[in-house]
Parts: sequence; C-alpha cells; structure tokens
Amino acid sequence: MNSRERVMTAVNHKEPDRVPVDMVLTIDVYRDMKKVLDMMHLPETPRMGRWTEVQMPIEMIKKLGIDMYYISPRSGNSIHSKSFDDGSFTDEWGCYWKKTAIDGGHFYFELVNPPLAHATIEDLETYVWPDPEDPKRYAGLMEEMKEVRETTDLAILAKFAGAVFELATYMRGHEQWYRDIINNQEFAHALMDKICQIQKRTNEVIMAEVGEYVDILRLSGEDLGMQDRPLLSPKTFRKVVKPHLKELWEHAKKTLHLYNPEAKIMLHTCGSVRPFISDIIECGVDILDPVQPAAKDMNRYELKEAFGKDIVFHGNIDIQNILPFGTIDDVTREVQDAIKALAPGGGFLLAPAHNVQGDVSAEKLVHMVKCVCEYGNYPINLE
Amino acid sequence: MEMLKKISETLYDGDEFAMPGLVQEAIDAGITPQEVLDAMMAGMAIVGDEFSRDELYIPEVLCSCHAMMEGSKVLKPLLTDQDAKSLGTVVLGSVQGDMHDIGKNLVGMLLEGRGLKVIDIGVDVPAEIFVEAAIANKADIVACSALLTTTMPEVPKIIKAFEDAGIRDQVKIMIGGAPITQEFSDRTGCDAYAKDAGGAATLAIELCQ
Repeated sequence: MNSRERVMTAVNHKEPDRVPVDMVLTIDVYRDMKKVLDMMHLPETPRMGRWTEVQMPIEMIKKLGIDMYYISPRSGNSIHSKSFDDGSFTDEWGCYWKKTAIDGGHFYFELVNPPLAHATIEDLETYVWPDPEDPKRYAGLMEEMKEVRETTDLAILAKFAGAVFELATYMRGHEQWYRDIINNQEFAHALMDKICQIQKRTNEVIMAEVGEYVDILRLSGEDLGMQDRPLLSPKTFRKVVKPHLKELWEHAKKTLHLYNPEAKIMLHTCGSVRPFISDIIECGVDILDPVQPAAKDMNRYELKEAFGKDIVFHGNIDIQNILPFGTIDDVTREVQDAIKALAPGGGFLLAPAHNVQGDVSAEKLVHMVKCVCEYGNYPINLE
Repeated sequence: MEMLKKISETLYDGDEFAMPGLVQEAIDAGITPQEVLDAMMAGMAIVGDEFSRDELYIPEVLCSCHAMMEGSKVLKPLLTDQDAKSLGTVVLGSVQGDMHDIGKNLVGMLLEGRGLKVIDIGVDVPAEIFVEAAIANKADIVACSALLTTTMPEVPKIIKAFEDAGIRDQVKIMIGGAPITQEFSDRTGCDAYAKDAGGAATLAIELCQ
C-alpha cells in the first residue's frame, strides 16, 4: 500500500497494511530535524504559519517516512493586515499576534488586544470583515497540490476550513467571549453567524479551486476542552455554539464532496472534549484530532470502545509529558499503547497530539515513526 | 435575611448586570456593607468549591467573578479600612514568555472574592519583576502561572531569583497552569501547587493562616 491508500483505508474504518503516521513541526523542531536526518541543504525557514508550524518539504516527509502532506491556505489581505518590525503581525480579521520569546531561544505568536473587545451588535455591521473572494488566499495552492498529487503518493490534508467559535474568541478576547456566551447570547449568536457566513463562502471559493486534490479537509481549531474539563458546559455548547458549528461543518463537507466525494473532514479540538464527541459525530465529522491523551476523560481505550465505530482518531501521542520530557523508552511505550488501543479495525492515524514545539527533540520523533513501522503493522499484535 | 440570600444566589448565577442594583438595594435597606460583602463572599466560596469539584465551567465562573467585581464597586466607597482588611497579599503573574492571562485572571478574581489582596503584575513577567513586586507589596504569596511546556522552565528561575534576593523564606511561592503537576512543583522547590483556580484560592487562604 502507498501512503495515500494507507490513510484512506484507515479513515474508512478498515485495516491498512500499517497504522498511518504524520506530524506537524514548528520551526525549531524542523531545524533540529534537518540535523538529525542530515538534510542541511533544506531551507532554513520554510513557509511558516501562525502557530510557527512550517511546511515540511516533500524530501523531508519521504526521508522521515510519514504518510501525509499538510497544506494551509495563504493569508488573505484586508485593511487590517499589517506586519511589524519585531515580527508581530495583524491578520486579515484584525487580530494582533505578538511575537513572543520563550525559553531556549524559541518563539511563538500570542494573541493580544482583541479587535472586537468592546464591540456592540451594531459594530458588527460596520466592522471591515475579510473578503472571502480574495484570490490571495489560494494563490499557488493549485500548483502545489497538483505537484504533490503527481509526484508523490502522499495523502493531502488541507487546513482550509476556518473556525467560528475559536475565531470569535480571538476577536472578542477569551474572557469577554466566555461571558458573552452566558450573559450576552444575542451578541454571541450575531458574531458567530457573521464569521460562519464568511467561512462558508471562503470554503466554496477555495474548494472550487483545489477541492479535487483534498483527501482530508481539516476544520480549523475549535478548541472545546481544557486540561481538566470541557471549556464550556455541554448545555451551553448545544444551545449557543453547536448550531453555528453544525452549519459550517455540514456546509464544508457538502462543498468538499462536490469536488471529491471520497474525501473526509477532520475536526481539531484540543483538551477534555468527551461530552461533545457524540455531537461532533452527529454534525458529520469523520475524524477527531488530536485526542489529547493527558486531558481528563480522554482514556484511549474508553474512547475507542465508545466512539470508534463512528469516528476516526487522529493524533493521541502525548505532547505534554512524554514527547518533551520522557525517555526514548517512554516514547516506545506510548506508541505501543496508542496502537493497541486505537488501531484495531482501522480508524486510527497516529501523530503527536499537537504541532510539535521546540522542547521536543527530533530524535524522539524519528523514533516515534520507527515504532509505528515496528509495532503498527496489521494485524496488530501487541499484548 | 432574604435580601442577602438573593445576593449570594445572584453571585452564584453570575448575573453581573443585576448585581449592582441588588447591592444598592440592600444598603438602602440598612444592611451593613460588611454583611453584603460576606454574602457575596459566601456565594464566591461555593463557586470556587464547585469549580474545584469539576461541577462548574469557566464561563459560569467568570460571570460570577464579574458579578463580584460589579457588586464590590458599589461597596468599596462604603467599607471602612477596618472592614477592608485582607487575609493576605498575593502577587500574581504569568511567567516570562507566557502571554496567557485567563487562568491567571480567574485565580486573581477568586482570590479577591475570598478576601485576599491581589497585585496582578500581568503576563510575560520576568523573574526579577516577581521579586521586585513581592518586596514592594510585602507579599505573603507569589503566584505564578505557566500554561506551556515551553514556559515551565521559568519556574525554577523565579525560585532562584527569590533565593538570590535573600527573601525566599519570606514568601510562599504557588504555581499553576495546564502542564504543571504536583511533582513538578515539588521538584522545583515551590511551596504549593493547585490544579485549578478554586483550589488555588483555598490553598492561598491556608497559606496565609
């Protein structure tokens, strides 16, 4: 089986030859990976996204032996868009991302000064929103995806479908937004609806361009969990938030299927999200990412038992403890356990449970892939 | 007292818009500011405890905290210095490199709601600023928030900064944040760790007694 067949077999709840594996590296780990794989000729700074994640070159994907090519849309441009000398920037929605130094010479972009912190419902009508038709957003995508499809056998995961709930959080500021969904629901609905309509049209425009090349459409982050509990109560989620997500996700899937009826949709939602999984399935989501193992109520065996028939799991290798602080043997045990719990019957794509940050050595990631090749072959035989 | 009960319940329900009116009503009816404050703090204690028991979620707790703040605005000018005496002073901040503030703010609001004085020194705070703020405010507790595995290494630096300044034995250092564990707290020489904001408030009160 080639990589694409392996991935598509697994996402159709069937057993491929082995468990598919992939990962997204942030800039620091990418640089470490270049050294570990002896690929110093690769660019020092490939295209980088908002989370400092980089576009991994095909050559590195092949040498590392992973199965998926991730692609992100380009940034759109609006009157808000601006770059600053210190590396910080304001995105097309008006959100300011501050470049922030972290321990060990790394950096990250953190959201500060949300643009709609003091907005009223009326302000939502006069705010300058991004233009979904902006051709900058998909410039060069077609060429890149066509090349990947024609020159490799990788599955293509497209991170195109934008967020609603989480974007509202960015635009309003976390604290104000969480109060809005309880005490200011009229505003909350108005903001989510505004964003949802823009995201729907954006999806239509991008899918018309490149939908035929998309194997998995990753719905952008809608983080609904914290470490120790869901971010919001299931009751508030169902009453206030879910209607908007359902509208976006169903539309995204329908739009995607116009161009590739076999393609799947993946939702990224971090943290302790178990109470929402049945809702997520009901909204038509095929794949759940990242199945954060260290979060509460996210026991991998229980999740497989409860939801494994209805949803595919992607991720699940602990990135809060084992990858940054564990030993090589800890990584082996983590991979074995995740495979044992989630791989039987297919329906599992193994990956670190987040974009890999600078505190994880590339050596451990290479070892993770090696373990998948050693223990992830079907039929799974792990005691 | 029906009116105080209603204040307590409204605080629990997080109705930040109704709170100022209710507090004013109680004052107008001749209830003392201290009694009103006690009723609000009683409501806040339930919020903190239920949050610790995983029975409440962040949005509801935030609304209660803001209801507390709105009610306190009405009470503040009416409370005497004697009334306003706090249980202790906490210097609170997110460590250097960490721009996350919601957990920190929540801890701050719950601490205030439980009667502690909170000096919030913000996010992305270098170790030496924690020390300066602790000295300037005669802090009993320094509470540090680290939300990322990549900012956790700041914690031992903060401990060392307090040691270097010769005041490590004069303050208790508390830490919290998603990736933090009791084991990490012990290993780095912190005095206390709480897994959530409600726990932090209870722990801080214990440390001040």
